[in-house]
Amino acid sequence: MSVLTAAHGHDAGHDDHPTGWRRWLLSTNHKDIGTMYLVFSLIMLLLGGAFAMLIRAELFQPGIQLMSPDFFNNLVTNHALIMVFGAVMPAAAGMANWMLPMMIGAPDMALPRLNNMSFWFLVAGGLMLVVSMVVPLIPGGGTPVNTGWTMYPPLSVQVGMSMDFLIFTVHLLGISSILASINIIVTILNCRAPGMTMMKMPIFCWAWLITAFLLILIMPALAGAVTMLLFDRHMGTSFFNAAGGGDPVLFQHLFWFFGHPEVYVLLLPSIGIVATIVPTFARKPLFGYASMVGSMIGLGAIGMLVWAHHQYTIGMSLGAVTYFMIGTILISIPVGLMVFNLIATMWRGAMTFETPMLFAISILVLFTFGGCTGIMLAVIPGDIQYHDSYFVVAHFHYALIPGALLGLYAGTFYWLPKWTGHMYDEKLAKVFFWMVMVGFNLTFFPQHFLGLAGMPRRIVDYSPIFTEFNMLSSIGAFIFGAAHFVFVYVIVKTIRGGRKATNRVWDNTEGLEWTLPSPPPFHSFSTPPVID
Amino acid sequence: MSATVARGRRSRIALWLGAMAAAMFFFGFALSPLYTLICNVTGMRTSAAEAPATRTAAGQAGGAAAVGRLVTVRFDTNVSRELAWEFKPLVRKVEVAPDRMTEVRFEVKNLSNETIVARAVPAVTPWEATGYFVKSECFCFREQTLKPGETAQLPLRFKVTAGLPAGIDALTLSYTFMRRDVHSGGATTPGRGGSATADDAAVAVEPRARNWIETLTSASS
Repeated sequence: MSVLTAAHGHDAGHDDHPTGWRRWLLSTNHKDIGTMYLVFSLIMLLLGGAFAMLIRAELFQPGIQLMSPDFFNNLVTNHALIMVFGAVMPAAAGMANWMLPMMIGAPDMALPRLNNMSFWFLVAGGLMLVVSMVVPLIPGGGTPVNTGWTMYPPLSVQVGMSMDFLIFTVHLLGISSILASINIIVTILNCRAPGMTMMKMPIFCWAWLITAFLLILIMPALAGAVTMLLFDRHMGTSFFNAAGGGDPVLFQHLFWFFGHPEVYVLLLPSIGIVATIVPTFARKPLFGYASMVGSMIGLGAIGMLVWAHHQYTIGMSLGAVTYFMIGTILISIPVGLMVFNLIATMWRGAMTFETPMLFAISILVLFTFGGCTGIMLAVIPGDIQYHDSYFVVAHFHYALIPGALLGLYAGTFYWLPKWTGHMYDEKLAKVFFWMVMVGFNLTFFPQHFLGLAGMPRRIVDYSPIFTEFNMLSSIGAFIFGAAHFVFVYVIVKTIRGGRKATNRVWDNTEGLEWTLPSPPPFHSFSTPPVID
Repeated sequence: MSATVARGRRSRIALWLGAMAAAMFFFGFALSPLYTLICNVTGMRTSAAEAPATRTAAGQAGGAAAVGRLVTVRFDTNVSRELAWEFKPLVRKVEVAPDRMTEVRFEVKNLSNETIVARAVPAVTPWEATGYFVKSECFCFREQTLKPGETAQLPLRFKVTAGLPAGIDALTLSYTFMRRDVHSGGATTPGRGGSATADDAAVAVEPRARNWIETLTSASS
């Protein structure tokens, strides 16, 4: 029905409301698709989190207690893939879907049916990932994917057919995010309300514009790399097979050509969220809007050129590693600029500390800390010692959990009243915040020491000298995990009811999205608002 | 702006972005030959390949600066005290391009009235250059025997490899002839002939000197 209507309709023409399952399966509405993205990512967050709990339970004490090493490695692999592709990216995409059209005064995303397609590709990819986990359980299914999320050959050429499902997973997720990115770029470039110039756009839109461009540049490169892997596995090519004239190091280059900008794909939307939240609760406009935009572009540009700092130990020439080291250290300049801009926004502001603001402040502190260990890892002689140790694990969790996940929590609490029309339970949300703070830091801070003491990553067993810090880390992880019961409860409670949210929700919100009622109507801005 | 114009603009941007994604997909495949190409063009190598050149910081430029570089090689000759030989290079000095094989000759004359077996021991100065001085043929590989009054021309074929640290533009190759059969003729050590072979005697009389010779010769080969 709705497909037929949309086929001969135009921009303002899809006024019909499909109901029941059709409303969701055939949805072309940015708010419904945004909701589906967010629900999907929450499910994936809980799944990936459950894997993390299993990993930490196994590592609670030395020895092999709960699982086989192969299954442990499979958990490590899928924890990373699910968190990156299943939880963080879809959550950011969901928020983009919900907020971008309302922020720029558009009735919907520019390409609504493409939007639907990119979401269902994502679900297909998620199911394919689950299939890749289940296949080894079937007799004759071969070994599980035990390569880690980096899928380095030659191991990834050797594992069983679950690797093929993983490769198709990457293809599906890649198509999904490329389509979503195209949609977002077209929306931002084309559908802004009259008078909204690029430099008047909310900072969240800028963050997503740059993210979307990064995704279009890097996701196809990863798709190419895993396709070569597929050819090597089944068609007798030798892209990565040294015996046939290939080079496994080429895969590392391709993977990190994707993998490093991917870090900024995860980071930038959350930076956009934080830069939206801080002015609201500091009751001051964002300090240095233009430099914020500039540093995000700079971050994306430099980020595309420094991938090989993940591979210092492969034996590149001294000139090459020096280039990658200097490039990597340069990244601290735009990132530092962003952090200082946000601090300057808070400077002498009339600050209040609602949950989104608490998360925003914690991000500044913790992400800066993660950035500092990043500088340590960027320096070649240091990195060669820290390489593949728990120090790296601690570093990237300190970069990605505050840099991406906590930003999404902040965004969730910030916009939840707008989405549902109800205020969330502030007291419970603060309980969640403090559980996250204690759990997260207790989990990952000791891992720095473990890494410096020489504990390798991705390993099921460890020397008994590492026991105490691992126990602390596991206890922290269980607190961190338990916090999510509170998180889900707060969200469900907010959806079901609560104090009515006003249009502006918070004291000092600026922007078109706050001129709409909470929750906003199914179709917003049928006539575009004019910005002066 | 009418709806159709807006839709046209949207599709155009979307198609451009789609083309960009497709291009990046094939760029991934193109990287396979491109990496080799980039490394060949820029002369970038792996750290393993450049390891000998990194002994000194200046050695970094060694590989790249090889074109047009000339290294001066001087020859120095000595004979040990108990050896009545005359030993001199036919050329005192040559300038060689890196990796180019060069042949030079030395002249040696037995001044005594006995047959003498001796062996030349090489040394390269500065010592850092030793590993980059490669001999494919040398009279020092074997013992040399000269009859009384005999003169011989001895060949040396060598090259200086391109990995030679950039700070070194001249080196000296020094040879010292050492006598191996101090007892066979009896002229220098009269009255000590006997049933022992020449080599045994040498070991018995001068073990320390012999070991020193062997250490040097094995180190240089």
